[in-house]
Amino acid sequence: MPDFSDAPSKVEVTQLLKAWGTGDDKALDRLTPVVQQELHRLAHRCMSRERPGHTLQTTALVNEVYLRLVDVNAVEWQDRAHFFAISARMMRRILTDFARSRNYQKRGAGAVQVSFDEALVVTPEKDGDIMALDEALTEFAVLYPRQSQVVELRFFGGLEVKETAEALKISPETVKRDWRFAKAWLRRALSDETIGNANEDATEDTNDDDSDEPRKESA
Amino acid sequence: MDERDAERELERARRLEQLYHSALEHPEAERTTFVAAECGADSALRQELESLLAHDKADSFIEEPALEVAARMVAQQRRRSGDDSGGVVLGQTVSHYRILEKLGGGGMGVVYKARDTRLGRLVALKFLPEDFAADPTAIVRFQREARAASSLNHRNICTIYDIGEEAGRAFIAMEYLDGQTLKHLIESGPLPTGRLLPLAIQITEALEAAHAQGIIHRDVKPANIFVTARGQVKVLDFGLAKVSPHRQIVATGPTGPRFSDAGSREQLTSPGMALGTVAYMSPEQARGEELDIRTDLFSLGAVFYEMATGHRAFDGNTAAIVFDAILNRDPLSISNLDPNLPEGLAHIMAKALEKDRKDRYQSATEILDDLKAIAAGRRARVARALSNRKLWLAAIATLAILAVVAVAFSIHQRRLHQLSEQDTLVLADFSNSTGDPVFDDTLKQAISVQLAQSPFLNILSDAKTRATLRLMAKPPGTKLTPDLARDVCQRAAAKAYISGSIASLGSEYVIGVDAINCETGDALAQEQVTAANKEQVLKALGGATTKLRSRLGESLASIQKFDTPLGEDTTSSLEAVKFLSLGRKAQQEKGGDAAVPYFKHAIALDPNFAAAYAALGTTYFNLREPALANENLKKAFELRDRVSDRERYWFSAYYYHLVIGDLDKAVETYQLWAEDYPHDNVPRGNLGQIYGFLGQYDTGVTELLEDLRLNPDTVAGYNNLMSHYTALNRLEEAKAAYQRAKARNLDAPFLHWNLYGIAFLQKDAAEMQRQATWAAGKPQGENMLLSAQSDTEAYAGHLDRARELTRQAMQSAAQNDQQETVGQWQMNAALREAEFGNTTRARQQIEEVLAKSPNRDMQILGALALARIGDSARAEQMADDLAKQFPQDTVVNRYWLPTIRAANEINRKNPAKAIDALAISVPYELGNPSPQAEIGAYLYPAYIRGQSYLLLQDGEKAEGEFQKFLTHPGITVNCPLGALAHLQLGRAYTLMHDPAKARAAYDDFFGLWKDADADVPALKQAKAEYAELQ
Repeated sequence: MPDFSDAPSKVEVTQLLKAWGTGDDKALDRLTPVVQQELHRLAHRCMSRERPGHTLQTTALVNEVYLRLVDVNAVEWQDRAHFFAISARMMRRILTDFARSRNYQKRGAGAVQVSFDEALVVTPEKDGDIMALDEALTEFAVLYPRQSQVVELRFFGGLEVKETAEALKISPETVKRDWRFAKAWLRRALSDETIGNANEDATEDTNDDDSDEPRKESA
Repeated sequence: MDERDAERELERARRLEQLYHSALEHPEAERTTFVAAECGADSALRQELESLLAHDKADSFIEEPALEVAARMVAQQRRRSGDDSGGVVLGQTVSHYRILEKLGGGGMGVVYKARDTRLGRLVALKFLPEDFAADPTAIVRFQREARAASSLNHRNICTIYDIGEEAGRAFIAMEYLDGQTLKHLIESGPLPTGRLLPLAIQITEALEAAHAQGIIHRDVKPANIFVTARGQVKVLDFGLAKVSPHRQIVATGPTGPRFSDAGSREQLTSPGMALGTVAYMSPEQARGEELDIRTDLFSLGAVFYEMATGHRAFDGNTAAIVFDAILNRDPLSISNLDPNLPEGLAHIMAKALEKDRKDRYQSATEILDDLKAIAAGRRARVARALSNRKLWLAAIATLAILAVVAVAFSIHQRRLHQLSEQDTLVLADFSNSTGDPVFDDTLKQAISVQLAQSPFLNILSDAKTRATLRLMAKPPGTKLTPDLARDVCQRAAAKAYISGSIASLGSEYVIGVDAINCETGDALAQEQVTAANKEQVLKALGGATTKLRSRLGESLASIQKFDTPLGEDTTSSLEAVKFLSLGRKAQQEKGGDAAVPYFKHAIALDPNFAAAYAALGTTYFNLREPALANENLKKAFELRDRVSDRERYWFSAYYYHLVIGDLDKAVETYQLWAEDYPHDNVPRGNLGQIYGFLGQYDTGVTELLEDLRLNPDTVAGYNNLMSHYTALNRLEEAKAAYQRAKARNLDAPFLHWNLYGIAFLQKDAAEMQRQATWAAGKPQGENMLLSAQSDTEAYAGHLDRARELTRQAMQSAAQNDQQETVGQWQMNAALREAEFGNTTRARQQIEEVLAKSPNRDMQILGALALARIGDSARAEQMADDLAKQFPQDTVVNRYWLPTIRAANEINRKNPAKAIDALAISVPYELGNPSPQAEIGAYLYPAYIRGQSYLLLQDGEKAEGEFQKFLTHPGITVNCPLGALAHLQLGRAYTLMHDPAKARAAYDDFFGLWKDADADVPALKQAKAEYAELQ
């Protein structure tokens, strides 16, 4: 974890983002540890929240991270859209790299379990899935550039429909349609690749400490 | 790829997407037909479309942001990596506890022996199981229970020193005990009655004390009862069983196993739970019913039973068998197991172990009475067996009891007055586990307002907190966790810190506010409230804070007098409070300009939020934007009925002081404020400044010294102190004031502006240059010092250089977007041109400034400058206008308007009228009347009065006026009027027919202007006059 005093300030993060957006690759090296630190902080929060009966206020959490990272006030209103696009792209890069690095670590570290509760949630929980999603999204973008941007902004950037519409200058309806289509497309792309893993997950639910809990939700 | 291929593929992709959406518009049953019809022979397209449609699901796939997905991944990984110890390693320091050795582990967590590195004592550090860390409400409940338990102060209850959380692991620091648990003690067999009774009495006394405070143990068992080497009982883990986050399987009843929701019903056990815990449960606990103190009495009976017999009252190989025994079977008769057991003891156990709690003992006291009766009976028998020769021992025992009572009394006294008036509190940041960022900072801000109303409590100021953090090598914005707050508290020699928390519990919010003695870690006062919803949070917090004040020892009268509830009058918008606090933070960390947008946003959220207007106004004032400052301060004043008393003083005083300029009222308000809130430095500091305006520098110094005693970190205080000492010609003290500020790591441009002035007075050109160099490139400092340098040049008659420096000062201020400051420097130059006789240039500059920033000070100085260039009509009109605009303004009405009108009378050749007009200004003429501008316009009334006397041919009286410039160099400093005063003195001496003195005075002036620009009209005229003297 970077030393606090060395960590870029919000204003710097905003500037770094801008710099990265204009092609300064080094800016990402400075941004990565900041995002990772937030990630770990968030992980800690997740650990506290992953209990039945505590619905995740995901947008609030992610927004909070953004607020902590970035001096949104310093961003001029007119380039907010641009700013969101860059932020989302940054998140995508950093998180995919992060997932990739962990995936390598993990291969040496043995099998992974997924608890029953988590298996119920169809979401790319495993490190590999963020990587796979990134790859699928790149593929998707070839044919559906706008639709892939919707995914980038929403999934990686954590934006709401309304914000996404604003950032892409399209209607919220279009965002919703694109989103629905992209979900189906990406899910299909991922399921083709990850059938084996999914089965593995279902059988590996053993002594996780959540497993004896009553489950109310049927998602 | 061929371009045409690519085009075709894109076209196909578009078609696929269109079909996908169209298909979805059809009811599911018709889709196949639709797809078949649309795709026709294109089977590849059809397959693809169908597979896509098959993957259309409204589920959570990618609905969670990636950041969160990744975070969950990390969380899972951490949980699985067997990180169950929470990473606790021997030798490691957790919070301020160094882990020494593992003492044991159990259902309620692992216990380590540790050393409190601050207080040097040994503690037992108990880490709650990982499950706790994973459930925020469990942590809250745990903390609530631990706090409750920590309030228990009983010799037979293990003291809880500290409740903390580090790296997500909740822990409690407890009294470290040397001995063993009752569980170990009875493993080797039943205890003889003589051993059993004193232990049983102590255990029961512990429960009695806890029950008296409404605390139920819920897990009374031998493993939770510690017996020290000296035979003293210490009961552990009060109330903690309640807060286990597990959802528990409840006993098998006729309908089979049932589940019980955490929180809504009492906890029982999970399958993995040790049988050791199950065995002491009461029947109602086994059934998962609501519990009262009687559950503990049943468990106590079970413990006694085991102590007496060496066997568990209810035993079995599985939890189900044990439950069955608890619910349905009586334990083996004690008398059968041990016929020697006193009859009374068997009776106590039987009554404690009644299945129906109505038949049981109803209180620990009842058990205690019975136990004591048995003990007394035994003692009586023993006593009879002995002689009476030991009666004196009883006397000693009585004395000992009296001593204990005395100690208890003194403890009681101390608790009544937890804090004394001199004690300072540190406010920690709220710990917000709701996940809703709106509570970050907001609640601290809110509680700070609420506590600040109290004249009794003294909150460590933000500035002091920052200064302390600096000493600790922490960045000023560091989040003040309770631990850090404790450090700050200790370093700042404060008494206690306030730590607050908010957590959500379902749709409700649980708010806790604790005051903790930072020396001992003891809780001085604790409050916990719930708010039904978000909107109620501020109000609930307000209520809790008021109670806390009372618990901390503030009198009811004081609380009633100074208690404006939060969330009703001040603002009900949490968001607005949040932005206010964000603004304050930005102000501290990045300066005023960074804070402005936050304050504005707070106002947008709640247009009646007085505190936000006040904050914005004050910030503008400090940014030298008086018009904007006034507008907002006025609004805050208008909303003053909606604020707390302290805020009312604040807003009113600022309004009188800065907006309408009624200094008499301002002084009165500040004095009242200082009386009601003797710990507040602000009224002192501002009184100090006002006395400076009024020319009462000595009185000002007294107030400022008090200001700085109360808060040695107010940089404005040092600034004003330096100015006042300089005005009093006490230059070394002025410099010492700077050193004091420097020693506290405080710095600000105006301190250097003062140092520059002092160096000027001491003719230390190198030092002047050093100060100018210091300011170069500093947004606030540069323009200020450039303008000061321009005055220095003008003082020496270097008008060209002065003009250039003024230009640079204006440019520098403009770059910093300080428009009103730009005008200020330009007006300063205009006035100088006017005095030097450059009428046209002066007029041009005056007009420019008045067009751009016609604030109060610019109108004043503009009118004066116009009068000085002979435009009496316009000056008069502006003066009348000022009188109308600022009817209550002390400085305008008693200093400036007389000066402007006198200048006009001089223009009209009515010197006698000029002197009359100036009469009212006499008490104020030594003052620094330009509160919002560092402008060289001091001693003007004296200067104009002197000129009037010259016109009246009264050389002596004129000399008296101009002499003031020589006796008060610290007031005029490098103001060019100070140089011109020598010339005027020459004229006075001429009138006095003292050519020698006149020549000397002219020589002084020419000395100062030895290499002045030759074309300055004032210089030409002086030379002509001097020639006539020859």
